[in-house]
Amino acid sequence: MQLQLKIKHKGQILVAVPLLFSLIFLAILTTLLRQSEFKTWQEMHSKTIVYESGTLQRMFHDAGIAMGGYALTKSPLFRERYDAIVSAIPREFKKMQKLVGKNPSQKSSVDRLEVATKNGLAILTHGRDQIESGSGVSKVRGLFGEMRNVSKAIGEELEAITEESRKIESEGPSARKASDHAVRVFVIAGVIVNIMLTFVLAYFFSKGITNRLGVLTENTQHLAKGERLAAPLAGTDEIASLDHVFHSMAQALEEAHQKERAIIENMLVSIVIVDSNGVIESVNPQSIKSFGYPQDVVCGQKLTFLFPEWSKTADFVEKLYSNLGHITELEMMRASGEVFPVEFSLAEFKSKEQTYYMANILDVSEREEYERLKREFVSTVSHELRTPLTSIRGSLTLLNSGVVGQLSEKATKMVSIAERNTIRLINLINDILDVEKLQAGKMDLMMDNIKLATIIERAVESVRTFADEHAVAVEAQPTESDVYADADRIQQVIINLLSNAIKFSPEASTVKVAVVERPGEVEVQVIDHGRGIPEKYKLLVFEKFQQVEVNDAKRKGGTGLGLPICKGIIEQHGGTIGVESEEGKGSTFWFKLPTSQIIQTNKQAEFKAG
Amino acid sequence: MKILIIDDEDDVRTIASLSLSLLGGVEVVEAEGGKEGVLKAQTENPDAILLDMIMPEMDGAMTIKALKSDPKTASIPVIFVTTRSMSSDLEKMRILGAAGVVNKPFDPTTLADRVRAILQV
Repeated sequence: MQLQLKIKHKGQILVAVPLLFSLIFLAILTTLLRQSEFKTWQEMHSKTIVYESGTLQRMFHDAGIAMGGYALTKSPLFRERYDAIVSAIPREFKKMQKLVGKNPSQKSSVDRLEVATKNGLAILTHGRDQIESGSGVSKVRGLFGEMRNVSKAIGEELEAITEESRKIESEGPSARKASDHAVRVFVIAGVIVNIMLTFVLAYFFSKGITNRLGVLTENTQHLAKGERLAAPLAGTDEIASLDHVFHSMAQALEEAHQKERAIIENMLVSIVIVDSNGVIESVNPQSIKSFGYPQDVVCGQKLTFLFPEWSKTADFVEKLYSNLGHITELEMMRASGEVFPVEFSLAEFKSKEQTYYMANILDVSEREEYERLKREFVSTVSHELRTPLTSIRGSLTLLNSGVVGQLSEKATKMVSIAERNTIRLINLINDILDVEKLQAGKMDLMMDNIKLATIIERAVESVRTFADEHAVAVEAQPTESDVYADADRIQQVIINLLSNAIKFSPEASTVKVAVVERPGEVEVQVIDHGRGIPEKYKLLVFEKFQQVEVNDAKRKGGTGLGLPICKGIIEQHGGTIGVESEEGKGSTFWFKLPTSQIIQTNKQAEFKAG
Repeated sequence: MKILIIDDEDDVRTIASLSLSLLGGVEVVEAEGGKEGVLKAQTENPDAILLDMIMPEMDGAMTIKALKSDPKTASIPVIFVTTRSMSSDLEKMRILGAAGVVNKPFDPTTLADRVRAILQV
């Protein structure tokens, strides 16, 4: 039953029960006090009755004496005295009657007293009349005898009336004392019982709450230690609800923890947890696999244990821990002594007790090996393809030139086709190698301060024959600008843009090379009046193997790599490249380069690549 | 002008030789390896040497070192004719003392002109 109560209800009971008890206690106490008051009043009342009865009796006595005095002296003083007493007697009786009230035991006595009083008054009145009429003293004495009888009767009735009052009066102090005692005892007992009741209730309720809260506290400690929680608390109160929520939370945490463990244990990155002293606290399975140390060997060692001897310097360790959150390429060492490349990053996290570090170590030895093999492959392909192509292209060109003997017209045509396609193949290989270099970031630029005019002039010369074949004129705007760039590569870009412009220009049109100089940069524009580029292709043309029309590669030649290579070269120079074009009206391909500011006294200038 | 061509590839050597002699009017001496090349450089006293980089036994680097270390041949300009076109390769050739580089595959019709341009003759 107790378990079904909510804490709110328990609190209400804890307040309501003592309150109810207090109300009952107060009600009884009030009754007792009223009884006590009544007893006091009763005593006082009885005293008044006794007093008043004495007064009444005394008045008859005094009236008798006054009447006697009057009879003997005829003094008006006695008469006045007599009259005053006689007139006061009915008032005194009324007072007496009122005091007795409706007390049944005294009622009959009062009635008789009334008769006796009336008789007494009648005798007194008669006596006065006798004295006034001058009757003899003997007559008056007779009245005294009657008066004594009446007085006796009154005395008896008053005795009867006051008997109960006297009894009450005599009992008064002891009854009041008993009543006061009862009240005192009741008050003390009531307070004690109330306090005890409050304590008992508080004890039982708080015991129930404390015990259950204790379970909650223990559960939080179990959770913190990763131990099993106590069984869920029974009941429907707030603590049971809280415990239920806590169990749900613990379950969710456990599931999240399991997922996290699964991820950490199955990931291909080595995770090493290091404490604030640089000592390895735990590692994931990949670390064991990657480094080759059993867990019990590696745990407890310094993080530098996993690095080659030469890197275990204070400077290295300081750099390691100061480069938090950044990926660094480092070399680490396996148990076998093999040094291998890794991508290393260190993250910091804080627990209540101390700071921990999590090292994420990605073994990139396979990736680097792959990169090395790829570079070797590219290099080999480059060499192995270029060597025979040198012979093929050379033979065909020599044949076509006629220096080794004249060919027939048909044979010349066939040789020309072979030569043209060989050159196309050579260009394709060169482009692929350039793309590969750009992707691998291996296109080392031979930077120098160069005159832009010279490069443009050379580029225009290079495409002169090609332009003539297409009946397109090429014009270059003079410029005095210098740029800090790789001359060959910028020339390659201009040649590529010019070749494209010529290819897509109508016959008898002109392709222009314009230069726009601005503070800090120079813009080279190649302007044609060809078919233009639709808006949606403007960005795509700089992507690999993208051409505006599917047949362009076949009809116009080209690999679809030229513009991506130009973009790569310009961006590697810190410049930008783009195109403005209106369909049907022509295109302006442009690139911007920073102007030459750095003076290079480099021997590269003396080294002329052919 | 007399040019010594050192290349282990017979075909390439032939093409280069024909290009220079027939189209460029240059006297050509051929050597099919580094050793032979160094000897011919000493005996033929050419005006320039076209040297292949990748060759068996004695490659282009070893050959140019031998040529540059011999007072008789040290002053002869050496032009590498190679498939290696990486900037790092070019830098390496510059350090070795090459006067210039001609990439393979070259255009036979302009080979002599390019050699003259490098030699500035």
